[in-house]
Amino acid sequence: MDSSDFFIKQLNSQLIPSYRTPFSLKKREGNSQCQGGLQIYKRDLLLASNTYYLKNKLCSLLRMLLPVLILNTLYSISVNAQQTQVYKPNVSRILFVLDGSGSMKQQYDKASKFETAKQLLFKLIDSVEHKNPNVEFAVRVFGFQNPNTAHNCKDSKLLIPFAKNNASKIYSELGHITPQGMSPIAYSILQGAGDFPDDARSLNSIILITDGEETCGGDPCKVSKELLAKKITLKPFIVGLNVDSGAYEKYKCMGTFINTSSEASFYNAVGVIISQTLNTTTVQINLLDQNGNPTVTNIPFTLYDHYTGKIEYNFVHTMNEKGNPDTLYLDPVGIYDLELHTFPSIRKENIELTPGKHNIIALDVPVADMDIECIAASIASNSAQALVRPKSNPVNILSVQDLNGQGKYLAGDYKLEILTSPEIMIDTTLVPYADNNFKIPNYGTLSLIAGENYLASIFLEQQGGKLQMVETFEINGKNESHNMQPGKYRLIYKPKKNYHSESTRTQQFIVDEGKTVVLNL
Amino acid sequence: MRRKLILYVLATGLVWLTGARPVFAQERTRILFVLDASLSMQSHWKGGNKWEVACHSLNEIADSIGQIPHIEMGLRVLGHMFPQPDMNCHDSRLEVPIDSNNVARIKKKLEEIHPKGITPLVYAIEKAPEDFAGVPAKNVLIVITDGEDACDRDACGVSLMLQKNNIILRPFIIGMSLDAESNQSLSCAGKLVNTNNATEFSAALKDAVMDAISKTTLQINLNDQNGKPTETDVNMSFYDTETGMVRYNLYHSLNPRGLPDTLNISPMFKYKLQVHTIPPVYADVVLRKNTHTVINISAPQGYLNFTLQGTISKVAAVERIKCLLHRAGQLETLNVQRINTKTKYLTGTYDLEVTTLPRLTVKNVKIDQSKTTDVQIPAPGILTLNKGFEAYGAIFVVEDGKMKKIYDLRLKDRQETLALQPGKYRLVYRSKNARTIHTTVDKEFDITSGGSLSLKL
Repeated sequence: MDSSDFFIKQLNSQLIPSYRTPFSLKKREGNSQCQGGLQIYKRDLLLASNTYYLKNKLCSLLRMLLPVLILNTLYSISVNAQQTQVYKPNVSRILFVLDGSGSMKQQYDKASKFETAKQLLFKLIDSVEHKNPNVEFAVRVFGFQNPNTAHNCKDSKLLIPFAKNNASKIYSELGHITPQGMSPIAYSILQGAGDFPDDARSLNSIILITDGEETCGGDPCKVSKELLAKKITLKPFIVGLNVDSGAYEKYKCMGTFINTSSEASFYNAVGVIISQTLNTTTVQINLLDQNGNPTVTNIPFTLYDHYTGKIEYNFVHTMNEKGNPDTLYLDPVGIYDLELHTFPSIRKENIELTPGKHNIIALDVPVADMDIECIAASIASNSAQALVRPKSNPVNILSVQDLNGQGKYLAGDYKLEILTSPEIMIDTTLVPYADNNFKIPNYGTLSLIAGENYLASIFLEQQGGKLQMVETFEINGKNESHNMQPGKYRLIYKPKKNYHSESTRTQQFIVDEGKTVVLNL
Repeated sequence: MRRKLILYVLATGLVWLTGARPVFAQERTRILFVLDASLSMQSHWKGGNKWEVACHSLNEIADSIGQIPHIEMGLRVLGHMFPQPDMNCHDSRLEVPIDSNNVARIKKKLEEIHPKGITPLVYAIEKAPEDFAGVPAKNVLIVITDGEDACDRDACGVSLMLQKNNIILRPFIIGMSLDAESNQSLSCAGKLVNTNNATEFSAALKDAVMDAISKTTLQINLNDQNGKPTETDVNMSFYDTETGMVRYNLYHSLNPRGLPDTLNISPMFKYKLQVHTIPPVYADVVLRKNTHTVINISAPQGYLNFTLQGTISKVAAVERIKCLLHRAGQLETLNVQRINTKTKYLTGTYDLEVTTLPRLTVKNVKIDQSKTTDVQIPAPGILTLNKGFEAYGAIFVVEDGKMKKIYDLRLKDRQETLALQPGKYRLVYRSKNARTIHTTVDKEFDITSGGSLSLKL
């Protein structure tokens, strides 16, 4: 590896984080000008100069399809303005994971726990099936195949797979079961995840019905979190049949837990859970001002899948007709990260939604609008931009803002570097919920009348007599003009052909706002 | 005593010849020594009698400068023809006319003369127009005397008159134990140095001659990494160390021989020199009078060529692309370089920030001696957004799987033209007047290098 290879590798590692279009770095050899990826080459010219060659990945395509591309370089796309991002599942699938361990034989209200569960499940499923054609049920039972003494921790079986209108089948299948064994709950939930068909447009839920706790050493909470993160199912709902308070504590982290002690309360609990999973989950994002009121708006934001980092939704925050943050319909299965695209952006991570409910996500947004005004500046005339750097990490530019353009920043300390000539540096604290306006003086113009070639530099006369170089350039026998900030300057120049330093000449001049100074060289 | 004196002269002569090398003026310089040979010059002095001291120093000087091109000498003596009691106020003669190759004549003449008369000093001085004979040259009068004018003449008036008429430069007057009164009356006639012994006299005469024939000059060597003075074409500011004010701005130049040009800078001040390379380099400059001072400054430089690959029609959009140069890891912006320009920098490692959309950071860019480092930016594509309504929104790139905002739409502008680097982008926006979030549009688009894309919102 020669030193240039090493150098390029270093460059590679440092370049990539700042620019994300697919990127690769290769040393350019011979004719291989076009290689995949956006590339940086170092090439050795005749003078052995270093070349950083930022190359478009379309390069090879360009070469092959040049005629086509030329025809197609100018095209126009009309964007459909009604493209929406509303989450709406095609089907809801609910898996009952039913406890078939020995304790389920115990008397509950009027019958045994298991018998009660069987009766009520039939009743509920039957009634839902008739009202809602977009719902399917399945039942998995654990602890019923081997007695307790067998210590079978894999005693779990999908008894009735997902299908429409299977209430009667569930009832009759459960009738053949005798509770007797262990409670491999974590194992059953994990197996249960595989009971759902592979269907992206399905909303999957698990309802665990049990009278005790895990007896096989599994960790139901961990399993439950994984299923949500991997977007397989909602966190399970747990309906307890007279479980003790110790078990309750253990189930809290697994999902929504409801303990019941009577047939009526059991029926209600399961009924509520079913209707909740069938309800639409809505989300409202409140961007709070200094008074804690959700008045901040019009800022784009992104919702990512927390587990995979995938970009799920992009919105521009909007107020509805009533002046409230408008409602979003999101997939309740999953954990989200929210990024609000202020400068710098604000992130809120690990957001879990409560299914079937209206979820409010609140963010404090100490937003500060900043405007850098300069009367004559316009993008069209290529006027200077302002580089905004956070004071805490000034090496990185946070944003480049055009003069006379507005930017939304988080309140705080910033360094502004305005690329006028000479540059203007401003250290500032941006105040939230206020307009932070800066006025930059209008440019003046220096017009140079030159009949021959000169080496020239413009210096600003600083306080104390020091000269600050503003620009250094060559004049090629033509008149030229420079836009400059008002101030006292010196033009120092020398005919290019002259061999003597003493041919250096100096002209002092003053630039006034909006005015032109003419210097004859 | 005499032997001792000769040894001394030899010793100082050696120092002079082997010390800092003087620079001799290229212009024709004519020096007329006006030597007092009045009787009092016979009086004893430390280091021999005055006359002997004067003659030996003159001999030494004549030997030293006799062979230097462009330099001519002459000798006028006064008070040597008539004895003191005659009180002859016209007792002065040009003994050796101003010419080159007359060192032997001068030495011989000095051997022959015996001091005896009075001091008609002003008379001798006012003969200068005749002695210099109107030859266009730098005419220097060096007066050696041990007393003021003996004929009641005004030395100052005459000297001033001659200077005003451009006949002579301000005379040098070297006194040999002048009394206070003489000192006073001669001080306005020229640059007076009174001496009290042979050592002082010899030094003063030498200084006067050197002032007459040499210049104080400065050469700034801007050295490349091999220590060779090849760097040039940059302005240099000389700040007065005392006041901080700029005294000179001079562009560094190489003369036709390829050597750094000689600068004429007043030795009256001490300077802080700022060489306006990017970044600047500094040096302290203290000039040694009558010598050629060479200051070596390390200023190795190379070029950064910041260009766009290919051309593009929307000039204003592309000219916005600038390259900010920093010392690696440092905040201070050393220069803002425009697109399609080549700029010289000190060699070293720099970080670049390029204000493309999205921004580009290139770390550890090396600038090597006399080489050109090329930084080429792929030609951006031009995106034109035509909005049928005022819109809130932004353009993003996806970086590390995250949405990174690179540009906020300008609410009020119905049309926006942007130069975007080739790549994939996402535009997220909605109408300003929308009352539901579900009108938000999330649109991906591709920008090709040199291409243009128009999106209708």
